[in-house]
Amino acid sequence: MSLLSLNDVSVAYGPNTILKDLNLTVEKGELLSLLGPSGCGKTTTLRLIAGFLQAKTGQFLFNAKDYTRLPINKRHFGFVFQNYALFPHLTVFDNIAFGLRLRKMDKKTIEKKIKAILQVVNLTGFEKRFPAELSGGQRQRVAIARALVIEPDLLLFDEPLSNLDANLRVTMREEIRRIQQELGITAIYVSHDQEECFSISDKVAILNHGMIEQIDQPKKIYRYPKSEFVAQFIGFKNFITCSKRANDGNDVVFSTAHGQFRTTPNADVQSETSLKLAIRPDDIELCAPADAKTAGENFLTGQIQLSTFLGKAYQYKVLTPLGVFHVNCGSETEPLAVGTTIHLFFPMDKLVNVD
Amino acid sequence: MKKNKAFLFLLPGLVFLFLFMIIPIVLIIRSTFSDQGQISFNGYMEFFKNKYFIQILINTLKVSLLTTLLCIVISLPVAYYIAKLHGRIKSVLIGLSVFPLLTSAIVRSFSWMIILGKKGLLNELLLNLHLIKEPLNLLYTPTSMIIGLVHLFLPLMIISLVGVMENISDDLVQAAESLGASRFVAFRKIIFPLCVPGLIIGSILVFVGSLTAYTTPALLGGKEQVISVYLYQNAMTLNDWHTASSVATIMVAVTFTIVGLMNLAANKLNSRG
Amino acid sequence: MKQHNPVLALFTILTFIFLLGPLAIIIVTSFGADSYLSFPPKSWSFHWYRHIFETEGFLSTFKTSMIVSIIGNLIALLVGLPAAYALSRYPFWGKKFLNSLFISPLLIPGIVLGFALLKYVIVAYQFSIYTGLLIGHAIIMLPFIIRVIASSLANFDFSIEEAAISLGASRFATFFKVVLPNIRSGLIAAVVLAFLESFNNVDISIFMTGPGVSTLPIQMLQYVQNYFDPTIAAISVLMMLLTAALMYVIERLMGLSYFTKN
Repeated sequence: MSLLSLNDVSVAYGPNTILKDLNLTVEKGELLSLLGPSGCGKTTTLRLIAGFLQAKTGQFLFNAKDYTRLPINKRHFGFVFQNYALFPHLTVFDNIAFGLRLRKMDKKTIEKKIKAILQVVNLTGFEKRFPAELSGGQRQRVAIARALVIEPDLLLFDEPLSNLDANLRVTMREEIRRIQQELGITAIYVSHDQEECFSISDKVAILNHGMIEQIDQPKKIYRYPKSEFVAQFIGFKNFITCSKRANDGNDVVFSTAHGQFRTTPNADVQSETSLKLAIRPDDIELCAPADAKTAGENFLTGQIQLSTFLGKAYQYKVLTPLGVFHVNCGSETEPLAVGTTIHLFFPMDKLVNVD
Repeated sequence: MKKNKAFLFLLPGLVFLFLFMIIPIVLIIRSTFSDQGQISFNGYMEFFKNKYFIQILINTLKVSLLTTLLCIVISLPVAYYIAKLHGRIKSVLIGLSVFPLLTSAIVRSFSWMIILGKKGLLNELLLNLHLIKEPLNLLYTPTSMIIGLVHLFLPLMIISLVGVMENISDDLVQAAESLGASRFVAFRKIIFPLCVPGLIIGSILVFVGSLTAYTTPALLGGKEQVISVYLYQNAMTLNDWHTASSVATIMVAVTFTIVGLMNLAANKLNSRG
Repeated sequence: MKQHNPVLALFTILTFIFLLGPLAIIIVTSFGADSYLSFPPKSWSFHWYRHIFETEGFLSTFKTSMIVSIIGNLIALLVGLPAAYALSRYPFWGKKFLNSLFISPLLIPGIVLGFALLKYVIVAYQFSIYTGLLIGHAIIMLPFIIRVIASSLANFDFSIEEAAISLGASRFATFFKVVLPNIRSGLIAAVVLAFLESFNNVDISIFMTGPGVSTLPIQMLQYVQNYFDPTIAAISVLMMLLTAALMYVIERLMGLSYFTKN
């Protein structure tokens, strides 16, 4: 039995349905990320779990108990807000002590716990400061400490790093992961930044239009996106629509009007009728026309239309009989001129069949 | 160069205020400290021995304090309710608070004369319900004056507090609730302390307003004297300009002391956050 | 979100009944036919509205009030507009103090200011009562003019002014062609608010009555203290209509949220 499960949950604001029949489970000690474009329902899901809003239909079970209508203050979950939501009139100490005092702990215990948690978030010595006197990263750590110190049954993060600058974001996400693993806390993390999600999560759920498109380990999603939407969202820029598919031993061969494409299937993700292939710009290789590795398959010829310098690579927009492809080539070589005819090779282990 | 320009723009206003406000008031204050050309505090010594005047001063302060407290107690929940609303209904309620604010104090005090009078609405109602046998003396009492003043200043307090509460993010309340606070505890520990600076400003407006109000006490207060009515009577009915000047000086002193103290308190609270 | 608390809602409704109920009672009373104030009236008529125009004093004091409020407004605008501009545009030493100085007429007890004006401006400086009224009303309007205009200048991007000057406009032309049009709604709202403050004023005007000079509120005050018939209710209704109309103007110009932002 999972620690948390949402069963067929729907949320609507007036006529707008935000979530429809959502199902989600989280295991104890796991960090699950909710990832998706803005408006996909990830924040709504998180606020629903926190109790800030109510489901129209469906059920929310936590630890086998029905939490669907349980008031926020009875849930014992920690919530870390995007804008930190520190109480501006209270010191760091009093902010963190807020939840402990409500739990009627004695003074000594409170002091001990706060001392310990400040050590965990590296803020020892900041007890007397007010939030206005802290930097963004420090505020964020106070917010995390405040949510952690009550030893919540579940820790919820709502885009906690989006107000920090890029370098600090990387440091803080490592911190969050460290603390979460150290304390063995179950956590749900919302973000629109895929790198952030992939780097800290045990599992990632990708949401679109209020539904979960795919939920899996980060590396599996990265390698085998289930649908065209997921593929696009995590950086697959090139898609090929084929007309026919046929099994050939362990491989699947897809046919188009301009050649065949061979790939390995991933049956536990994709359906067996899909005719769509996807590949990242980094994974397409340039080759000579008569290259042996092509063997007449996974091969296209096209003309460079546009060349863009990306820093670590050049990106070429290549027009082929099957449409436009984006190809990244290392920037150490001289760039190819616009109009050059080039040959593209699609390695079979990089080409993914998606729904 | 820039300094000169700013000064040039400010000059007409400054001259105007100096000539017609500051100098006359300073002259009034000065006149109370002189006795036949000599500096003297005799006027005030006698003043504060005068039991009648002391009573009026205490009455006024009591009425103002009570009015301010009532306004705070009523406004807090109402402002909280309005601040949490959205859209049309919120604008309507703000509009309905602003309207009395812009309506003449005479009109508003007069409405209470209709309600509280001997043959007024309230007495008629109570008589018809056989709750009383004789009409009550409601008008021209301290109570009617306080009702009138609360009616006069309540919108001001509501509007100041709505402004402050709107700026308190919903997240703070939700954060408190997620840490285990009930709605009421979240209000007491988060919203209320964050409102205090706004509450102080609102209280200054209401307290000073009640302290110096003339129309409402004159219409609803009856024999119950307050300091502004006392000033007017000395100046216009009794033609005792010396006493009127002393009363004016005391009013200015009390007002500025209170505003100063409350501002100090507000600044102290502000520097903390 | 569903944060509807029925107790809070009920309390709010009761508060608004307390605030607005008395005004509604005035409206009903004004249409009564009885010669004394009663609620609800036994029979109905427009008699008291007619009575306003038949009674000596109301029409003439209304005229005085209008003239004083409008001309006083112009005086306040004349000295207040440049001051508001300087206070928002230039940084200079002592700005905070000057800001409070221009707002101070709001804090000085009206009754004290009225008495001071009577004692010095009229009796000592020998100005006419009418002039004293104008000066007094201009003083109490000044804080409204300066505050509202300054708050609308606070949203004005002064680099636009520099852009106009760089395009060849004179400072003078820039002010009238670029700055003023951009703060137009704030300007009108300031004038309207100041007008209402002056039009309803009692504390100053009560010291400045003389032969043939008095304002409408003072006339009303004297009438209420001597007669107890619905004439004042009828005038009150007309004044509320004026207030509502002017409030509508402010709402259109700045939105009523202006009031909660101070």
